[in-house]
Amino acid sequence: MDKKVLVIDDSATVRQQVGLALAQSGFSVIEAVDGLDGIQQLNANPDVGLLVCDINMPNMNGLEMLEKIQAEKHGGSIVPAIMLTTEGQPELVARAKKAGAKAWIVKPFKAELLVAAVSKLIRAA
Amino acid sequence: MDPSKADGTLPIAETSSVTSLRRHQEAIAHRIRDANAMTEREVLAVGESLRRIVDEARAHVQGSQHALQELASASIAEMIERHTALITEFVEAMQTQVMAQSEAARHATEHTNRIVDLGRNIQHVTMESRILALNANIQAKRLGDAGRSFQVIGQEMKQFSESVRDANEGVQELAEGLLDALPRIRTLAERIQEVSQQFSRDVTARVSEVAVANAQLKGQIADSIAAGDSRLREIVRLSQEALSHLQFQDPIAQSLLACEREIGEVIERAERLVGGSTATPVEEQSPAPQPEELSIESGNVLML
Repeated sequence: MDKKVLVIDDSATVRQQVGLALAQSGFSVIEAVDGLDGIQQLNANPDVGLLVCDINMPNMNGLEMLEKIQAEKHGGSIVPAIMLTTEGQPELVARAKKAGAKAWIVKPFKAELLVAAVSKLIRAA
Repeated sequence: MDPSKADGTLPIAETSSVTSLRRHQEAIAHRIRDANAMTEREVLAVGESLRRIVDEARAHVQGSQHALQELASASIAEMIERHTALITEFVEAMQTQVMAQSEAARHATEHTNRIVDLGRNIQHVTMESRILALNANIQAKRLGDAGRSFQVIGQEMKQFSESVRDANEGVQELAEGLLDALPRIRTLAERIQEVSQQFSRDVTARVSEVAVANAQLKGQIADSIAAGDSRLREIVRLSQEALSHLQFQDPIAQSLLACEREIGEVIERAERLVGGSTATPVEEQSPAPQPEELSIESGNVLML
């Protein structure tokens, strides 16, 4: 499994912090600024092994992006995702899980826990 | 915000207050965006510095590891082995030559001793020749004219024996010189052999010392790199901890933007009131139901 992770967040600081934490642990990281950009990056980088995705973003939010990816795969295997968000409503969690999310982290995140979750999901994929 | 006119609109004074509020709201929004941009810029700069620190530490450790790999690739060990083999080969060749020289000297001594023996035989023959010459002369004197030929033979024999004696003395002198020199040559050859054997033993001992020192050096470098690895892991851990602390920026930015939106919404409601809107006054609006929050602490991971 590839160790490339796509980080999708409209906040430059979050992208940087997630990117640094993952890069320091040996992951290759690419970034997207919203859901639309995330889909484009995913299509351009088929070797992406995991998504780390915010929910509240302009143009297309993280849940809409996951649902679109899932719909385009027509039931095929999709890239696993970790939701990294300030949100915590159970209905959003349930919606994310249905769309293929494998983990949910409420910001602010602990870098070592994020890295551990990414490692676990990449290994399992 | 209680409407005082019969048609439900606010007086002009209150309208200008709402307009003033809108200006304040725009100023607040401007400041919030400036503050967010500034904190984002600074946090990104700190993050970049952390990245450089970790990259530098990683480059240092990788450089050390590369150096150790080169050291472990046996370049020094191979060099030592190569030179040791050359020295051993040289010493062996030298010893072979020295032994051959010593053997040659021994043979030369034997041959010279034979020459000395032959010289003694020649000396004996010379003595015999002189006696014969003497006898020939005696016979020549006794026979008078009839013995003239004996006189010639006696003289020839005498000259012959003297020539042989002189030549033999020269050969004996040379042989004695050789017999005197040859043992010294053998002694020197044996001394060279001893020195070369000692040299070989010394080189082997030094090579062993160098090999041990090399192994110790490699061990020390490996320990140093292991310590570097440990420090690098600590640097990474601390930088990740620092990154965790830097995350104040995004939630604060989001909160400030939410405040800005709420202020905007309040002012919009006020504007609707001023404009005679029939919308429910702000204080009478029922608050939006708060969504149920997940019981997960910030930073923790919920596996789905």
